[in-house]
Amino acid sequence: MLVSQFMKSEFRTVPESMTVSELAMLFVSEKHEGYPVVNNHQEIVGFVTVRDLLQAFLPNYIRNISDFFDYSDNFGYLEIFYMRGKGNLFIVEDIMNYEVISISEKESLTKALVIMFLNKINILPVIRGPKILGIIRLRDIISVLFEGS
Amino acid sequence: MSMVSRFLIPGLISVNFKAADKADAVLKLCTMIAAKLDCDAESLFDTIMNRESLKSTAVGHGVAIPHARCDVSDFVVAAGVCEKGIDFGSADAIDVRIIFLILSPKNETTSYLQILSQIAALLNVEKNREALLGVKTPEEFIELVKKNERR
Repeated sequence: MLVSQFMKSEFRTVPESMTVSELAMLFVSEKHEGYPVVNNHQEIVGFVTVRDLLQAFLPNYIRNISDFFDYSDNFGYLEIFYMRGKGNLFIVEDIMNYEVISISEKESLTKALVIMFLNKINILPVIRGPKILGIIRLRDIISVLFEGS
Repeated sequence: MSMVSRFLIPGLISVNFKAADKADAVLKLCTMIAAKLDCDAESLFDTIMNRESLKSTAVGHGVAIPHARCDVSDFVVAAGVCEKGIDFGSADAIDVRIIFLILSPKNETTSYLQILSQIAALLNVEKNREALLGVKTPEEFIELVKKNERR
């Protein structure tokens, strides 16, 4: 079973220049966990996830605590400048991952599953050179394995 | 929380900054940084201008915060205060007189956004902008930021 047989060829990409406010609305409306980021030539230049969007709101002290802590009840100035309308200073390029974990369409579905598990990701862009051909998701693999069972 | 003032050093602040236009301003700030870090100013310039080409970092009220992630080992902040405004393509059409240029390591996104947000918050307050426009020395600039940055 090859990735090319089961990848989704219709998928959404986001441009590097999209503001994080617009990206946030996409995450809410489409319920996806991540999008490939493309440049003006439709070449993949990064990948952005819900976690990338939210990580700025994590207090730095989370690295030093392991259990219950009396967390602050708001996000301070980040609420204003990142979340509420003034987030236009930030664009996708500012928060995306430059190193894209991807797979070729000629690889096996097993390899796609292994890559997703090892990297704790749910979506894998399928690429040929700098071009993105599609995506393969964990749920697509579930469909393949359990369809008709 | 990463504080902006931690990354401010007098050698990277010009309180009498002059530039012909946006590209010239970015190049001059990158040249200041390159001299301190012993790296290539043109490469820094290209990185910042590439980010600017995606969306202007002029945030209004005469403030611009050009920024980019690149191959630096720690955050670098350079700043310029200009008497004569520079056209940065701001949505409110006000020429820029306060510029903070920030370079971030590629994998430090959390601190990066926190630092950018802090600067934006600081400069969103009119009295802070006016105070910064009136400073006479880089040391005075740093003290003002330290006093007014939000923790």
